[in-house]
Amino acid sequence: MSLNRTIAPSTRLITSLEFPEFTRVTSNSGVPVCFVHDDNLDVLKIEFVFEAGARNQSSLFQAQAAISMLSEGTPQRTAAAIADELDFYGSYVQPRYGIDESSLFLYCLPRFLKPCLEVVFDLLTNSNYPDYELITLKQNAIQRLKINESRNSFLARRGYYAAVFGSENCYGSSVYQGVIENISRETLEQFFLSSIKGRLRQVYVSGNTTASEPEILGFCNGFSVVQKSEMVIPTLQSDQPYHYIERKQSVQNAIRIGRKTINRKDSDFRKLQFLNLLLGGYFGSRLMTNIREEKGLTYGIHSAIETYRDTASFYIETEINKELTHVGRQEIENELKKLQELPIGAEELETARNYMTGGFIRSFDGVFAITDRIKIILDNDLPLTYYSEFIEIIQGITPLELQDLANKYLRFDGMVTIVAGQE
Amino acid sequence: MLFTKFRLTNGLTVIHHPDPSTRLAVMNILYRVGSRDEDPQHTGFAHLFEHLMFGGSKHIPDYDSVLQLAGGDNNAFTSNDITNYYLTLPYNNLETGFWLESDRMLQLDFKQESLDIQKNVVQEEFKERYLNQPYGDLWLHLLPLAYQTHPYSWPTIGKTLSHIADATLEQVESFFYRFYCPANAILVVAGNVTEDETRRLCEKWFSDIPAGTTNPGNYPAEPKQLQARRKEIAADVPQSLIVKAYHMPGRNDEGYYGIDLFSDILGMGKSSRLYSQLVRDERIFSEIDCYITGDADPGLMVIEGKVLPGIDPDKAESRIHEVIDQALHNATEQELEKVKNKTETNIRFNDTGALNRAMKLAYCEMLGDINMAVEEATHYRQVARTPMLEAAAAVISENNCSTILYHPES
Repeated sequence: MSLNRTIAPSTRLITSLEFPEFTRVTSNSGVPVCFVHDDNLDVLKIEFVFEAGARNQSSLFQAQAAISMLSEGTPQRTAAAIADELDFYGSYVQPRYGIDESSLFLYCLPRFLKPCLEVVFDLLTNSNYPDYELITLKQNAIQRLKINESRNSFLARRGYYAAVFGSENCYGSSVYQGVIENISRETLEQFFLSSIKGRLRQVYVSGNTTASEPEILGFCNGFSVVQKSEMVIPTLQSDQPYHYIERKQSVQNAIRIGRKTINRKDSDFRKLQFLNLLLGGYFGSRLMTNIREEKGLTYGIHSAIETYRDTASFYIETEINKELTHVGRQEIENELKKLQELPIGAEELETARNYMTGGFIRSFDGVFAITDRIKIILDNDLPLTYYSEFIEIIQGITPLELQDLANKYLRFDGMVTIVAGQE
Repeated sequence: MLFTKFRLTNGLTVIHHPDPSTRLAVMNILYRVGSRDEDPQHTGFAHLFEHLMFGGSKHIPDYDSVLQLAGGDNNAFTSNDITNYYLTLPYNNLETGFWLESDRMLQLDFKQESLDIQKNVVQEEFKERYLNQPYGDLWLHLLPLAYQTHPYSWPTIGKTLSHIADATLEQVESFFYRFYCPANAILVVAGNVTEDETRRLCEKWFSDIPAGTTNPGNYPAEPKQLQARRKEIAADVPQSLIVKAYHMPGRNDEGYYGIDLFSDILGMGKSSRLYSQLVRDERIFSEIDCYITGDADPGLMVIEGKVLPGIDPDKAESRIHEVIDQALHNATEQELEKVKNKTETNIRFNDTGALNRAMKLAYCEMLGDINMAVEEATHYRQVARTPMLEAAAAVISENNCSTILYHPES
C-alpha cells in the first residue's frame, strides 16, 4: 500500500503538566535556597539573588555600576587575581543588573565548586571598587553607549521606556554620558554596603546538585536574608502619542509601540499572554503573518509583555523597511483593531492554543528551564498549579473573551509610538 | 551520548539518539549545502533558499501552521558549510515532523509569490544585521580580503542586496534538485523515541524519495597567503575597530584544537592575555576579543578590538603584535590547563538537551566523524603546549594576515 502524503498523521495534545520536583532548604542564617537536580548533568549553575536593583539606588547608574564591578577587586584579591582564579577553574561568573533585583551567576564544574565559592564569597562580602578599575569601567561604558546610540533599535527602546513610564524613575530613566562620567567610588561603595554586602534574598542551584548542598548552605550561612521590598514606584505615561528620534543615514527604521499594562498579580494576565501570542508572540502571529510573510516589510516583528515587580509594559517592536514605515505603522494599528472587532476563527485559535500548550513542554524541558519556571513561581508567590491552570485557561478561552481583552488592554489610542531612524 | 547510525537505501543518513528523560522528540535535518556552494555571481542563495523551504511543499501548503497545530516549534540556519533545520514536538506527535520534513525533501512548491516576498524579507535582514549597525558590514569587507579564491570569500547573507533581488525561480528549482535530496542529507531523531520507532517512521516517510546525489564538497583551495593584506574603512562610528584575521587549519586538520585553545589563551575572558594587558592594564582598547570561525574548510582566527579615543590605532595594533609574540613564547602550562577547563565547562553546558546534542551529532557526521561528538572534550584535553605553540606560530604571521582598520570619518 503506497503512502498517502495528503493525510496528516493524527496528533494528540498533551495537556497534563506535573510540576517537577525541587528541594527548598533554608540556611541557618535564613537564606532560602532552591535545588533543582539532574543527575545526568555534570555542571552547576548557581544564581545568587540580591535586593539590589535600580529601584534600590539613590542615583542613576549606581546599581548597574556596583553590580558590574563585583569582580573588580577586594582587599585580598585584585581584579587580575580574581579573573585568573575563576578562569583557571573553568568557571564563569556573570553579574546581572536589573531594575527590581540583581543577580550573580556562577557556572562551574562540580569538582571546582569549593574554590569557586571561596572567591565568590570574597566578592560578595568585600568588594571595594578600586579607582583604577572604576575609571576603566566608565571609559568602556561610555564607548558602549556611543555605539548603542548609533543603533535605531536602541534609540527606540530608550525613547519607549521614557515615554511609557516617565524618565524620572527606575523603569523609564536612562543613563547618559554625563552620569557615567560623574559617578564616584563612594557612591558605589555605599550601594554595596546598603544592598549587597552580607545579604541575599534567594539562591537557585541547578544541575548536579547533590554533593553541593552542604557547600552551598555553608556559603549562605555567611549571609543574612533580606526580603523583597514591595514599594510601588509611581510612573507616568507621556501624553504625547508619537515620538520621533532622528538618526541620519538610517537604512531602516525601528518602531516600538506600547503602553503600561497588567502584571502577574492581575487575574487577566495569563489570558493577556495568550492574546499577546496571537498578536505577535510567535511565527504564526497576526503581526508576523501580515507584516513579514505577506508584505515582506521586515525580517522580524513581535509583541511582548515585560513584567516588573509592580508594573509591566506591553510593546510591539520591529526594524522595518524605511520607505514603507508608514504602511507598517498603519498595519500594526489595523491588527490591533481587528483583534477588538473581529472574533478569531476556530482554526487560528486551535493552532495558537496547541502551539502554546506544546510550548509548556518545552519550557519545562531540562533543569535550567525548570529553574526559570520555579523562579517565577517563588518570586511572585504563585501556586505550583499556576502553569497547569494556564493550560486550562488557554483550552477554555473563547473568541469573545479575546475580543473583550483586546478592547480592554490593546487599544491603540492608549499607546505611545516611537520611531527611530528617518521617516 | 548514546546513538546509533544507519542509512536508508536512498542514501539518507539517519542517527537515532534516545533521551527518555524528556517529553520532547527532536528532528534535526542537515543538508550538505552552504554559502560555499554558491556561484560567486549569485551569492546569498543558500540562505534565501532556507527561507523558501517554509513556503509550502507538494502536499502541505503551509509548514509552520501544521507544526504549530501539533504543539511543535522549529527554526533553521545557514552557514558557510551547511543548512540546518530543526524542530521539536511533544514526543507523541513526532510523526507530524516526519510528514513535514519528508514532504519538503520530496518536493518544494515553487511559487514566484513566495520568492518575491522572501527576497524582500531577506533584504530587510541584510539591512538590519549588516547595513544599519555600526561596523555592520565588516565581514562584507573582511572575507573578500582574506579569501581570494575559496568561496568563503563572501558572507552567508550574500555579497550585495542586488544578488538577492536578482534570484530567479529557475535558479531556486535547480538548487533544490541539486542539494535537497536524501543522499545529501543527515537526519537526527532524538529525544523520547525508540530506535524501532525511528526506523519505522524513516522507512514509512523517507524511503520513497529519490536518492539524488551527495554533494562531493570540492572547493578551490585558497592558495597560501604570502603577503600581509590591509584595508581601511571610514564610517560614522565612534571609535576605531581593528580586525586581524589569520588563516588557520580546517575543522578536521592537524592543529585545529591547538589553535582554538591558543585563541582562548589570547582572548577568552578577563584573565586572557589581550584583555588583561590591553583592556585592563594599559587601557588601549575598550573591548578586545579573539576567536575562530570554526569552518569546515580552513577558516580564520580573528582578533578584534575597539580602540579607545585618543589612542593611535597604529600603536594599538603594535601592542597586539607584541602581546601575541610574548604569548607565543611564554604561554604557560597553567594557562593551557585553564583554557582546557573553560572548554570543558562550555562543552558540558552546550551538550545540554536533546536538541543541542542532535545538532552536534549531525554536524560531526557531516565533517566525517560522528564520534567527534563524544570525543571532542578528549581532543581538547590532549593538546600539548609545545605542538600548540608551533601550530600557532605558523598561523600568526603578518604575511598570513588580513587587517582591517574601521575608523571614524574625520
